Amino acid sequence: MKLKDITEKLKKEHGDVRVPDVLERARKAPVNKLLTGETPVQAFRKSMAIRLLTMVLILLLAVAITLSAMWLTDEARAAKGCYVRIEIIRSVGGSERYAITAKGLIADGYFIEDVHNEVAPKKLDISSISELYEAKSGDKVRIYVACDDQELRRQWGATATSELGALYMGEVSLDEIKSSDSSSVKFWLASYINSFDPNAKASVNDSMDALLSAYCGCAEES
Amino acid sequence: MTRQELDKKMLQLQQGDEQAFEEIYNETRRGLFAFILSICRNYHTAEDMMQTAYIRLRTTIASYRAGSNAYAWLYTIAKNATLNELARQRREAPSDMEDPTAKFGAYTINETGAPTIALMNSILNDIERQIVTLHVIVGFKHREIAELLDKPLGTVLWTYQNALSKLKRALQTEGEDEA
Repeated sequence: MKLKDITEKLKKEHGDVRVPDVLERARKAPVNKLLTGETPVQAFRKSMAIRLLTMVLILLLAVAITLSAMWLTDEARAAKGCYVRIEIIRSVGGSERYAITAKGLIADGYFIEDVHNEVAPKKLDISSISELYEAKSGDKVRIYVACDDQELRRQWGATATSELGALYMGEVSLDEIKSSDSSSVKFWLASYINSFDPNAKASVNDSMDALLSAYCGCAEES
Repeated sequence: MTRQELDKKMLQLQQGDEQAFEEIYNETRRGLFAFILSICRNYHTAEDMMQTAYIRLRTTIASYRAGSNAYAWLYTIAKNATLNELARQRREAPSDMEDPTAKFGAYTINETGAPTIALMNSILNDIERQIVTLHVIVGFKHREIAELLDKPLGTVLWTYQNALSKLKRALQTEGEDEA
């Protein structure tokens, strides 16, 4: 046997060996992507960028959903009428009543309902209450909130309690009484409207929005 | 692909030419795989090392200098990667769990279809296998092999002749046994 025969045999046998296609394997398996031209840093940056982008997109989506939900809710709430009644029971006797009407979270009217037993519908700012009402130790302030929307009711209750608490802290006791469609609140409203305008014929069976509309209307006429 | 053509492709790859990489890969993968296999004698390790070699080629292509011996550069990368991997395997594998096929130098390719390769792996030592593979399979000149393996040219020539003589004797002995 010649040496050339041996080399020919080796060449032939090596020619039959299946050579693995690692480039093809790299194209199929993401873990081997480095072979397709990415440096480790590039691969890391790329995967990090994709992760970050995904997270940002998810975050943006969540924010968009939340904002639209809040916007829809606010829109819905904005249409709801609310009535906040502030009743002050004097420790020396007698009572005074003030009211706030609102569309959603925006107050659109402040009223003195009954001061010193006079029916005197009149607009005023909530801060003006302190000019009209001088707190005496032992006075009680009750806050009634009538609103069909539970969240609006809660927020108005908190707002009125907070503002009056700041005005009369330590002098009066505050009761926050939230009432949804309370017949007593409606009764007060209807009575007040009818006492101001006997032709109004407001009733406890009227909706809260209808009563508030009449209420605000009669106040504007004054 | 000639040495000059490979050098040109390397420079194109350096400029970001993806097509150049594919051409380098397709032209060199068979020879490179044979060379790696002659070092590690394990098909799967050779496959992984071939991938590692091409990854290193890509990640270090910026350091390639025009006019260098591109083949020697690529094969040196592959040799170093494979020797490092073998050293790592020796460090990590417990002595009583050594792969018997590696110990006795068996290929994990189909040996019945490649009796001469099987014989080469059983009777030639590491350096003999590498020299024979590089000269016979890859087609390197003895001078290039000497440069790549960092051996004197005379040693490479002598080792090559000696290796082939060993194979010849073994094949003749096999033939006589069969007769």
